[in-house]
Amino acid sequence: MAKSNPAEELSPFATPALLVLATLADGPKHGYAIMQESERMSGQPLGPGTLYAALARLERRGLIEAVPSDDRRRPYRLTGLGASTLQAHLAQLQSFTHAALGRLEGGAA
Amino acid sequence: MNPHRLVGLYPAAWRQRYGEEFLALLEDQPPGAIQTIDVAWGAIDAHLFPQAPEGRFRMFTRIAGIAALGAGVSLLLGFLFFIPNINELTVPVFYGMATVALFGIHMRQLPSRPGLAWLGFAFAFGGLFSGMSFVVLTRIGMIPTNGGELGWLAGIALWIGFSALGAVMLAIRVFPTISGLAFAIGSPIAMVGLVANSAATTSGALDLLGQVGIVIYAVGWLVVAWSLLTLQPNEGVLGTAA
Repeated sequence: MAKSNPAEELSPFATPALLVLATLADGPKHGYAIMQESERMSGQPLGPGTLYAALARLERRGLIEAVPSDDRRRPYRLTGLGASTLQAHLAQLQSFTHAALGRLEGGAA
Repeated sequence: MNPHRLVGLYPAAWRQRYGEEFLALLEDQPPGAIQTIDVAWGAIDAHLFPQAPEGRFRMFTRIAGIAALGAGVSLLLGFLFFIPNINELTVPVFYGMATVALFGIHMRQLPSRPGLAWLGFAFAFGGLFSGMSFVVLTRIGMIPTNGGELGWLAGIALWIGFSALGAVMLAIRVFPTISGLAFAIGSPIAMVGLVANSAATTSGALDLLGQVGIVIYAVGWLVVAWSLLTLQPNEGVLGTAA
């Protein structure tokens, strides 16, 4: 199985993937819980089709994995690669946010 | 829409992996209109960009199948609405058969060289080119180079060689499956139509046979399209392709 650069899934145009990773940051969740949590975090509902498109991509790239379960509602969790990728991306966003806010405040002064 | 039907929109390989849990999700939260559209969009995404290990294979065969469908429909439309001069078939038929051969070779070597899956596009572009150029040529009345009787015979030999090679290669790979069998049948049907058409051209007297040949050729493409669109990578010997 070919695995491309995992960071591709976290491009600025891949918000659903970022939301899924962020909701899994504090522990495994199944699909419904991911949808609820991501809406709570972002204020935007995540549709079931969009959610599973993101889950399939993230799983294929090794950023998340399914947790063995007898329940039909299969939970997912971050892999080590997923956690480090998410952390790096969030740090990048934080740096960007600081820089942008600094410019805004500098411009307003 | 019923959750079972919504899940049914997704490719079989996808359903095998995610179908049960996705159904559970849709049953937990029955989708409204917007969610239904979202699921339908997700299904299109899953068809176009499969994430399963055999995804690339599925994507290329599906694109090739759609192209073959376009080729068959184009050929039929060209025949029904433009009543072609038999000589005008040289270019589209040649490309059509060449692409069958390319695709057959491609499928044969795919297990050992999965990185070359993109070659499946040769079939897609060639198939569409075959059908569309048929329509265009018959529309504008252009007659491609005709090398006389010897040229036609050489052309027929090439077509038969190309199509036989491609059909045999692909048939070997997919024969245990129904869709593979359809391809193995569809390609010879296309060849029979082609030979009938060429025989009519060579003699210059069997116009009806030639026109029947065109229709058979187009039907052959449609069968090929069906076989590719229903082909499952985890069936038969294709299970080793991923």
